[in-house]
Amino acid sequence: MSGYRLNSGGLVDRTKRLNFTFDGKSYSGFEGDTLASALLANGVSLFGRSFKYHRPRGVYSAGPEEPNALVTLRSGGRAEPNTKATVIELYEGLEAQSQNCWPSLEHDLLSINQLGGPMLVAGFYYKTFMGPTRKAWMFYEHFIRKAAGLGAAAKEADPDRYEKSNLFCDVLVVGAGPSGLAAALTAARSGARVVLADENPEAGGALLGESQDTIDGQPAQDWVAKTLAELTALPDVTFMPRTTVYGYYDHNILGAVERVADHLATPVNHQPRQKHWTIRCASVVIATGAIERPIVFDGNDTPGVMLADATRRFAQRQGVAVGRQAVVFTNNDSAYRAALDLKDAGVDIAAIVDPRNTIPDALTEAVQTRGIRLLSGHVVTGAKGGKRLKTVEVATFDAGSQSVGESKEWIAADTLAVSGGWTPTIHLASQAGDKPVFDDKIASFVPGKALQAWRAVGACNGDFGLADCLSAGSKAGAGAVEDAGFTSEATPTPDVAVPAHAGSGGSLYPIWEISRPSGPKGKKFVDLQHDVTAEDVRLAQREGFESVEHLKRYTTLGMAADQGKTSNVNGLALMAAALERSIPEVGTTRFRPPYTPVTLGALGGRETGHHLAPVRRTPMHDWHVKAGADMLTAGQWMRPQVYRKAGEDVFAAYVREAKAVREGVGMVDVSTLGKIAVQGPDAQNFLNLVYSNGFKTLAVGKARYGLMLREDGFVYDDGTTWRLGETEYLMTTTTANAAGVLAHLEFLLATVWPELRVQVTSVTEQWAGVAVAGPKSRATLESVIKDLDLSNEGVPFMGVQPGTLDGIPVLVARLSFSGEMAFEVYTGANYGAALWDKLMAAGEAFGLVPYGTEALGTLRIEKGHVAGPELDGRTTAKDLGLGGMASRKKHYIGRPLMEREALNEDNRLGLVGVISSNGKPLRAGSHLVAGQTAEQPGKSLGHVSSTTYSPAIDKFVALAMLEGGLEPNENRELFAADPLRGGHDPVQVVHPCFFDKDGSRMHV
Amino acid sequence: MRIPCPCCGERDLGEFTYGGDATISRPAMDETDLNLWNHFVYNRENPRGPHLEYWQHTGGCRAWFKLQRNVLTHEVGASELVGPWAAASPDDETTGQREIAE
Amino acid sequence: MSNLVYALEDAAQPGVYGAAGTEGPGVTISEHRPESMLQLGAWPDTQASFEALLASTLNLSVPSRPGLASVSSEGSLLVIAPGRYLLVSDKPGITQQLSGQIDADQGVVTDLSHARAGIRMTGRNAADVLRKGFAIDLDIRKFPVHSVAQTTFHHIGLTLHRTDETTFELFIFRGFALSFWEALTDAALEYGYQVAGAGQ
Repeated sequence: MSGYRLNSGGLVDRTKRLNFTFDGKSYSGFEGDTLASALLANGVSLFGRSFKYHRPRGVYSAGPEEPNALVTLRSGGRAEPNTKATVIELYEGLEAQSQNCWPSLEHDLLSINQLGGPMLVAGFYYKTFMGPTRKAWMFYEHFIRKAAGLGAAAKEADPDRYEKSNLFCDVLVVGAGPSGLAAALTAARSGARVVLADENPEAGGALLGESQDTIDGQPAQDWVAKTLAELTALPDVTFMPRTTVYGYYDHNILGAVERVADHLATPVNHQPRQKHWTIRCASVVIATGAIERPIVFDGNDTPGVMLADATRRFAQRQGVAVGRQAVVFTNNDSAYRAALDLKDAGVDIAAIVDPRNTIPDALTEAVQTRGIRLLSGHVVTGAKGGKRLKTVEVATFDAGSQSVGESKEWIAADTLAVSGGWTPTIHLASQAGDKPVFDDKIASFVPGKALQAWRAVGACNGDFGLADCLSAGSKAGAGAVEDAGFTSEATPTPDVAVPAHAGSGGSLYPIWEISRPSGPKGKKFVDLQHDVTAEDVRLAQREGFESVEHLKRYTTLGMAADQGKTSNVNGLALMAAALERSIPEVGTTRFRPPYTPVTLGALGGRETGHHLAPVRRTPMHDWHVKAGADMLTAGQWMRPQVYRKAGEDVFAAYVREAKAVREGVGMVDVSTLGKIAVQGPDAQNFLNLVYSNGFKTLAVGKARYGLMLREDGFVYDDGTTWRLGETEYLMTTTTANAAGVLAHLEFLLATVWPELRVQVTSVTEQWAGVAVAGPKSRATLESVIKDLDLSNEGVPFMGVQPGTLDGIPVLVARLSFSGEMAFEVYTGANYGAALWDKLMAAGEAFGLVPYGTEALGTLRIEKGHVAGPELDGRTTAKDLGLGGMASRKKHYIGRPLMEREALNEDNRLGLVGVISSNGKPLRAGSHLVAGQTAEQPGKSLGHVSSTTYSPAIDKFVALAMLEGGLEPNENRELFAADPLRGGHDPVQVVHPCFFDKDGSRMHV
Repeated sequence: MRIPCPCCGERDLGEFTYGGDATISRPAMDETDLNLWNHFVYNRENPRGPHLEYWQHTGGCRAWFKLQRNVLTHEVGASELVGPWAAASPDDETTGQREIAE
Repeated sequence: MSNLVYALEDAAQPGVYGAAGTEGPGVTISEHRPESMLQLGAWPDTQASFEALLASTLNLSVPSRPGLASVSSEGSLLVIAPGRYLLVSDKPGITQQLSGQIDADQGVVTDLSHARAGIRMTGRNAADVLRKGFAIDLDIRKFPVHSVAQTTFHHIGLTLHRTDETTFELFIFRGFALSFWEALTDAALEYGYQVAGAGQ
């Protein structure tokens, strides 16, 4: 117990008390608290156990860089693991759980891992458990994952909504700190559409709660409020608090997540919990600030050790003192301000430890005035205390020789505020820019050259002074609007005053790791979240993992939820030291999105449940569903597979349906068939060029089967094309290829024959279609179509005639896919449901049965008609027995390469039929082999493509592609081998048309 | 990625379908030299840098057009309508055409 | 009973849904059932005379480029590509009239009256609802009244016509209409929406 609430100060509303629980224990805080600040105010210092060693960990920062204080927020389906206590806004009823500890945070049995510490070095798991085979790893992995890890994902469905939306603007400003506000103000005054996004609930950034600095004579926080008020009053400015811009993608597209309701227990009134924004803009100002850097020393992970600026921020924003007695360890001027402010707030500052010998007068004076002990030329060599810091070990340091002295002193403290300098938050700039550049002045990387339209300003660009931030921000805002085509007026640079002791992070003495000259080395953490130590980095170097990318992967430095925000630069510095190279020579890894973790909910948005993907329904869809059809998707279309009667399985149903068609009459919804209107004076020419068979002689009122090839000579698609008028054709395609064929035709008209006056339009959705098939199909139609002669003379085979079906305008086409006498009846889609109802009613007298795609397949396989499984992109017209459809009299797409030698060899796979010899069903995908046993199948001679039970011949049959085709193989006994699923069954090779070879049934 | 459709202006990549290399010329319909056909169907350069490509605005106006795109940087340049309307293509600021920077 | 069944007849049940606020529902959504939807196509060398014919028959001036619409008492003419137009009209017999006037040498008429479902959405949050699915800038200065876009929403292609600052007409492939309706109304829940009866 050492943190406490200060009597005054902070932006919290002390009149609004909020109750919450952490690990089931009740606490209270104030509105404006984060979970971290509220727990600190309640004296909690232990927040979690570390990733690998299960060491006790406290709060290390006050922001999104937090490596330690990860908790599982909320419970049940709303539970979210690995959320950072430092950014969770407190709300009434908040529940949070600590992670990676068992049975409890205080008494974590797995902390025994600490004893095995020297063993659990980088690469330990791989070296120890991988073994010569993967088997060992597969066995151990489960236990290792359980022992080492972060929080667990919720297993229940998240009941909340997540939305996605789009945003367009001229200028996006990321970060509403001083630089971002200045940029947004200048940009907005030009009249541009400006979006200002900040991950925090309020604007202000480093100025949030700042009362000492003044801008134009007013306290900085008042300037923030005034600037924000001016911005939000403008109609073209959108301020988006709680919005993290996490990724910068091509062409100035950025991804952002707005946490709409994460600060509430549950979202209200249909609001989403989070909203993902895809932002497209002309220009971006990156004003993302900087993150303070730790220094690496023994015990630097002890709860109570934290970043210096975080201690100040907790006091400034939430009125919380993080401890009662603090040591400040810094290599730069910025942390003095934290020391002085904490002292002024009533926290005892036991000492300021600074490796530098020369410290600016303004700082030493301010320190002396307050009676603080200043240990210049000293470093912290160790921190001790277990679950809470108790003592800090300090030794002398000689900056010239960079050596730590032998003499040491132990200083009692519950808080050690550390500052190793500042690391610009260059994530977005790195994602959309060239390699970051090392800046010696701040001993860190700043953004490289912009490869898209962005400007980095302020601390993100290595400028830490407030005046510099404001003027650079304003300049960037002006540049950004000019990129977007606006003219901008110069904004006067405000007059800035900061206290003399407000030092900048730029004046630093680079020091990365403190090593005792003798005595225990101890555990010195570089990456707190992934428990990577300084020794691990050196081990990686010794084992040859020298490149930064290898270092990252071998040690896992910089991985996990914080992506190394506090550890990257220190890790690089240690690798550079081990290699005796400079940091820029070692380089840095490229940042990839996301900057902070993004929930899967936000990425998925509303595309979940039945909104996952759109489906396409025919006009008769509702009828099929009401009739109890098993609906299957074919591409995006929903189609009835079978209409099962009580007690029937799919097999019984399709056999019954197929039989009904052969014996009486059936009907099937064929609305999904691709339909393309081909119109214009050159339509006939065009069809003749795209189909392999001739279309010159097709008369009005007639249909013709057409075969379409690809440029490489293989078959692309097939279907019938109907001539509806002199210059009007309706082309049908397979359901699957409808979109592709249209694009193919459009491409040819655009690039090959732009002179042809032809227009192609998808009219798939315009027409509802019903195929009525079977010996009684004519009688059925005659009972409802009175204005059309449906006899062989009136509508001959392949004839197409308009008519009226009980008041509905229809097109009747005499086409047969089933081999029976059959008609396809088409009407406008909005008439489709009525057409179906009327046909069902008319068919009643004839025993009409609706049939689904399964029976449709059975009927076509019995007839040996090819479909998708045979038109698989590897077959030629000749392979399919359709060589006669390849005209020799004209030029058409695909002909030259179809005629090449290799596509005309005798041993190519050709279409055959096969009949199961042992009465067992055949499976598509089986190979045809000559070997008698599954053990010795011999080489594949071909494969089975479409299978069914044939009610017409009472056998299991299939279409197959077989080496040499039918002629050399007819009546040959082969085996259908299915080694993957099991099966080796005898088949007999036959003609692919199993039924009514001369086609007499459909010509009646 | 954003792609400038010559008819509709700049739209998201998801609305478009890639249509292949636009530098390849198709042999005449009556060409009998199979080498030329082989080249047309199968042979492609794999340039590192600027590339001229066919794209179709399948999720919009369905126009086919040629697009300059740098396959290394994804930088996108001018787009040009192909087909019978190429000459009549409107050419104002609404088409979102940009010059590609080398 | 009518032989015509529209794509959204069952789905578009009048009522008030979603978030409740003091200002009432943010949008009103209804099925829009125009009498005719025709695609009209000119040839490059007949475009001028074709447009003149459309202008006189429909009593409007044909917009100069794709992405714009022109509206008269005869209907709305949306330019959807160079030389291609979508006519949305409630005028009886317009299909026959135009088919009679336009011969193949002049251009083509393609009847899409059944191929699209129409939806009309109006209200202060109409653009907010649409931008959840549209990756196009709906700012009134960038997409002014009588702008037209063909784009996608929830992977579904459609045509969009802004008829006033807060009103949009949408034409969706009929087969996708129900999926689209479900996605659109779901997107509108956050603002609250009212479903009004279908109309022309």
